[in-house]
Amino acid sequence: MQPPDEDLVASILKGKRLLFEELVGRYQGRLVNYLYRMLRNEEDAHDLAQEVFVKIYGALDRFDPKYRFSTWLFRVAQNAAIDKIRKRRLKLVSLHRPDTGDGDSGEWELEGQELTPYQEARNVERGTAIKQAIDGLPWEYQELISLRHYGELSYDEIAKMKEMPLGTVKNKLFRGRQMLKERLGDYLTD
Amino acid sequence: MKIESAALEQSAAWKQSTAWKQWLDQDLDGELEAAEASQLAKILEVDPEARAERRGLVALHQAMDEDRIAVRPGFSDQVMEALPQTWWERESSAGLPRWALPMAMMLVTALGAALTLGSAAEVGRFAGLGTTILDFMQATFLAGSGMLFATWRGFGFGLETLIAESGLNLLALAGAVLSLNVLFVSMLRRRRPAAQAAETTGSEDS
Repeated sequence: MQPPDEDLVASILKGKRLLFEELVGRYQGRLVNYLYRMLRNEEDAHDLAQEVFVKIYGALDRFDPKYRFSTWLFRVAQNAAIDKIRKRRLKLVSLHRPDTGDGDSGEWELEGQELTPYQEARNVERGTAIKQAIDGLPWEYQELISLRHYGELSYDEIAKMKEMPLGTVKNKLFRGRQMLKERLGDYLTD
Repeated sequence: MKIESAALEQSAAWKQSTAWKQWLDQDLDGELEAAEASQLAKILEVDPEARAERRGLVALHQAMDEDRIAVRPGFSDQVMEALPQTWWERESSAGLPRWALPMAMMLVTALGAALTLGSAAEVGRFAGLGTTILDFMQATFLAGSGMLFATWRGFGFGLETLIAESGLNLLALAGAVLSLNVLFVSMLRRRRPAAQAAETTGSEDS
């Protein structure tokens, strides 16, 4: 039987640094996928997940065992993702080059965005439809579905993290999925 | 046959409420209570509409699973390499708690003083050592109290003069004391555990 996260944290604080790898192993898939859903970019999701783990490690001595490690980790991740999205928005620039008078105005040339074979394989119609359907949901539903499905948090963990009654979490997840089912309709009958 | 008709009746009654689809949803998430799950299983056996609804949900879950990405190889190694060295690691690698160094310094000082002054003691060696340590501590205590007394007396005298000069000074002093108290309280508040802070603020740890 695996030791609970909180016991691992206690051991790490006694100097067993390598045990943190166990925690990383437990959460890396869930965290990367959750961040990928938030950021829509694999590279960014991995980079931010690494940052979150490093940040969490540096703050482990301030972890309060009253709370669950998972809810703490995902809350930190959520805040980090929101900050990242905000910064991204600030960095958005126009693609139109200023007219320099030499008749060479127009759009900036972008580097070719060729998809790798892996990306191409992933970019199937259904995958795109799912992404679009989830992106089209109201934010609160998107968020809960991402936490449940990609972060694999239990209803109780989500309720604690979002400071919502358990019943509200259940209702919103249900309604969000119903909306997804309606939007995806044909894709789900394959 | 009887069992089936009972299940059908139960199914019809159950579907009158709006919660039945939520049960299906919660069942797929593994969040349904055991009693509810077994009730649901019985209804699914006899109710084609419930089965169709469940198939749709299963398809949705599968479709979302396909949208997952794999963690890049070597990710956990990269994380471990990027970890900073923390105070608890420094402490545990040194094998000493944080208070050990100041305590050791105090002991060495006390021992040094005892050895220096104790050599002059007329009584037996160990008794002389003990007496000297006591004398040394007494002298330190007296010196400290004297300095504290003088300091506070001087401080009190200064304040008295300041307040006596004008009422404005008294007001300024009251303001300063109040500000110091507010500062002290705000510093205490800031010492919440990180987890709690991270859960209540958007910027902490993010």
